[in-house]
Amino acid sequence: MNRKPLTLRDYLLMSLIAVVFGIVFLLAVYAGAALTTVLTPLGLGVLGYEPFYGIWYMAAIITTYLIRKPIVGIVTEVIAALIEVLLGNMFGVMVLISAFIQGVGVEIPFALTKYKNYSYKVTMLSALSATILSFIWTGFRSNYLAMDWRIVLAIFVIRLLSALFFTGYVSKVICDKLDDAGVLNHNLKASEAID
Amino acid sequence: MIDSINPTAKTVGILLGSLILGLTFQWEVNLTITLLGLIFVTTSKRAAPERLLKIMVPILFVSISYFFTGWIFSSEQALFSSSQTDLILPSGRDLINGLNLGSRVLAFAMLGISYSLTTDSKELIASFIQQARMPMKMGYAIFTAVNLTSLIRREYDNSKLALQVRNIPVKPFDSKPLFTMMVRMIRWSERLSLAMESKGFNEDRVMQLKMTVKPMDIVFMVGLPIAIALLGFVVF
Repeated sequence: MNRKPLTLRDYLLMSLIAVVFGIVFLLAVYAGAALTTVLTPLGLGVLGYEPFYGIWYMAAIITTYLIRKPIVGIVTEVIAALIEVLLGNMFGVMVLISAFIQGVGVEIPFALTKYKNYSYKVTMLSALSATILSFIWTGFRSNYLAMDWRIVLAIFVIRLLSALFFTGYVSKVICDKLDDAGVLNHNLKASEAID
Repeated sequence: MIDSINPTAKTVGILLGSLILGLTFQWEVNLTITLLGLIFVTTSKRAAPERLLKIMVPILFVSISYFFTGWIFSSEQALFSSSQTDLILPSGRDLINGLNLGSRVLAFAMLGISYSLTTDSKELIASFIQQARMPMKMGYAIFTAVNLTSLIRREYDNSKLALQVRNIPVKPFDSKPLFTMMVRMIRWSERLSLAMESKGFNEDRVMQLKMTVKPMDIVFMVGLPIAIALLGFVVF
């Protein structure tokens, strides 16, 4: 495990990547709003943003892959949340807690491998653990106990599928391409780390 | 009044208040907190009315969607708990459940807005560095990213255009422009850190902006969560 402290370059990379994903997430917000509009009269409006949930874990998984140091995933999510707050996010300070929980979720599988394994298996597990933790948190925040269990199940399943695709698959594809392009300068070659 | 509260104290107060609000399940509490949030925002000199309106539209929309879900798809437990109160007819229980859920989202959002629209970004980061012990590097990295947001947005559009001029189709959530942006961000982070360090940036940097904690900040930090707890568990 790389125990060196985070450098200014690491923090800058996390912040810049958080902004890039903030832009992508804005697209998802528009798409989610449109979907919510269609689903609200049916009482299914709460599902509108769920297909895009996985995009929000992508920044953490990509920076963890790029920097390969402990707590990078958590710090990235918190930085992303702070940037959102500074740009006027409607849920304000609550996004800091959401971000911390999502960061922990992304981080757990990497921590269990001591930040040595960056295979699809670990990124998919990361997507799963981020989904479970964020589901528990949003369940508390939005009081899922007051909703029909089938709606709550639909929220979980759609969010999980979104996370597996965006976080587990797309993020890994982007990171592998970056590795192939030779732009990564971390100590460990990703090809050596994968299995 | 809320403008002058120390950002770290405001963060802790609203954070704890929001967590306590999460433990209450009455629409009366939610609407009272929504009103409180509105008072915070309307008395603030920093919250521009146009910006408030722009943010309120999606919030109302999300709130309405939760109202419909709570109304149409109530859980049995929610119906049971609403039947313990003496305010509704059996046919109105679903409606009250919807009201509880919809107003809950609204209350969280109003607390959130009264935080994000009334907090100055420079003061927030300075306060986190000085009062919450945030690393200097992290604070300045966030400043850098916030200041580069419009440039990053333009670069993202350019990377999509660059693909399109080569006749490569770009779908809304395509990973190709994202890949280009990741390469750029890696390069930018290296160059920016070199530039900042060559200008003498380090952890011992002295900040011109000094943030202090006043008695009023402590009153807000402790008072808001207590007020919400009283509303949720004693008054209603």
